[in-house]
Amino acid sequence: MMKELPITFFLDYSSYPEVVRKMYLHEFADNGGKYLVLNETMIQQIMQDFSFAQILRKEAEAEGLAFLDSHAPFAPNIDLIMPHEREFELTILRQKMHLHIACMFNVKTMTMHIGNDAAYPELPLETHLDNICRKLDKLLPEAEKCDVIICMENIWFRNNTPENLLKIKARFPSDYLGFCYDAAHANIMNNGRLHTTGRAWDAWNAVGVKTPQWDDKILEKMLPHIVNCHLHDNNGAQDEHKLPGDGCVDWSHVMPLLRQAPRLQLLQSEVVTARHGISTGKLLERFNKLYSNEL
Amino acid sequence: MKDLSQVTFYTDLHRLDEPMRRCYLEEISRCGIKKLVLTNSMLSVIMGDHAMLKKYAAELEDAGLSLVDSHALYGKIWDFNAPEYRDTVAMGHRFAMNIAAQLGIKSMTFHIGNDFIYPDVPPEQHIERICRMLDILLPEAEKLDMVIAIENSWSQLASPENLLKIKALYDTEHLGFCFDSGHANIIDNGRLYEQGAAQEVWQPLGIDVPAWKTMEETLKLMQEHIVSCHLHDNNGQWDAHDCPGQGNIDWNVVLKYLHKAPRLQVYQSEVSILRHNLSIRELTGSFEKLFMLEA
Repeated sequence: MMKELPITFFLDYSSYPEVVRKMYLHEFADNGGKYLVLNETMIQQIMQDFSFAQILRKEAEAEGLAFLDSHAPFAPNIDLIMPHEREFELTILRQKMHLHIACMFNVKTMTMHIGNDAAYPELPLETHLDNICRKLDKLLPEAEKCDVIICMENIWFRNNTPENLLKIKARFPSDYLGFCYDAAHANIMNNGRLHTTGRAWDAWNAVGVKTPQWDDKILEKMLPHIVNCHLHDNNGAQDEHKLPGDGCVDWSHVMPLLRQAPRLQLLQSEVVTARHGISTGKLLERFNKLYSNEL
Repeated sequence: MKDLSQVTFYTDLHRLDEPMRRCYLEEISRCGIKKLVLTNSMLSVIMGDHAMLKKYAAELEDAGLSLVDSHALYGKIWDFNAPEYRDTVAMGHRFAMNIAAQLGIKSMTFHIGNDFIYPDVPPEQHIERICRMLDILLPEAEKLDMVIAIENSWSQLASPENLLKIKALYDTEHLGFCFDSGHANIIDNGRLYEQGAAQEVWQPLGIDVPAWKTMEETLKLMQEHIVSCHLHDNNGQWDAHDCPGQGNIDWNVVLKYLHKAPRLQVYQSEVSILRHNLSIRELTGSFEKLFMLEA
């Protein structure tokens, strides 16, 4: 029997005025949407104004919606890779605050970017991995206290390949550390080879590697530890966050395999609707098709 | 207190975008101001966007200004007696203290909280909650070489007697007081009015007449532990944050006691020039007059 998995949606509505937020959520709910991602913008807004947490929650509840998972804010100066010793404690406290906010919303997973080595190309890969592990060492006890699983996401940089995520995971047997499989990022690291330029080329060239380490088995490698996933599409060159089916991700391969991930809690749409002028109706329709393997 | 360079000034920098901030900081600098307060609003901005930490620091440096003292996040959520999310509140304060420390700041003023919004909570329980928060924050203050300055208000809870009661429990140089002249005036000259800020917070607790206290009585009680001070004026009825001289505070008394406060690190203007549509010259002029009074 197929595992029932909730679908949560990344909706980039929180920066709009109240009337727009309410209208958008109503539209989403009216089209059958149920679950939302507590996304990085929302968490940043709450960090700046704590009372916004209550506003977001009430607006969602008014439409019968619930937040189910979360994404931590990210940037080179706050990602786990951030190498400056002077800001180590600040980074830890900031990321701990993110976990606390997730806990306030009773969400059980938080996807984190471990960071991109191209932001600090002068440092060797092993130093980056050590930096990331030192921060996880501090964060995992807090994650356990908050009952929130930290999910490290695959991106298209040298340091966040499945091999390196697995290397990090091997140092932390805790259940509070898992993976977030990003199907489109994986596509960049596979079909990026079809292009002469693109995100992967830029990222690997920046650290002195001429050709990215293309990989068509990312999902297979990450599978045992996948807790969350980001589902969106692209052409392999750019991180477009399109609807599944509007790029070249092989969904007939991804979906059946992903469903076998033993720790997977949910499916997440990370389509950026505003960027592509996508209605919530179309978004939900496409994910229903994806869910029932009709793409 | 000899000249403007020894006063730190509260500003509304958080309301301005980068070009306007640069103009405003240049304006401030040209008026003889050298030191500014890291306000709670600036802290909130940095908490929401880490990049603002370096931006603020660089912009201030460019204008020949520096941050000397700070004001913690406050309000129902953040005050020490807040009943909800206490671990998160403590974490947020620790984060804010670390941000201040990165900017070289040595004191942070905190509101212990208001009792009138919790009329059913007995005073001892408020004190207990406040102390539990200090138990977490004082070791952080020590680590960061920072003083936590708890501020007098016009509420029953934040009276000088209660501040002393709390201080008596902590034999550490890292806990001190912030004397707020405007707040002290409300609990003194508030008696001239039938209704006002003081009555509004004492009456919900079933106390018809606030325990009025002269400015001198407040200062005598607080003097030994004053580390920072908020200088602003009002007429005793409302917390107007006006320029010294615009209300009915007896500044001779205030300066006499502050001048002899053994631990005082900084004189702070907490005048709100936005609220009163004042120019920076009018603000600095009022403080220059204050120095002349002292002379």
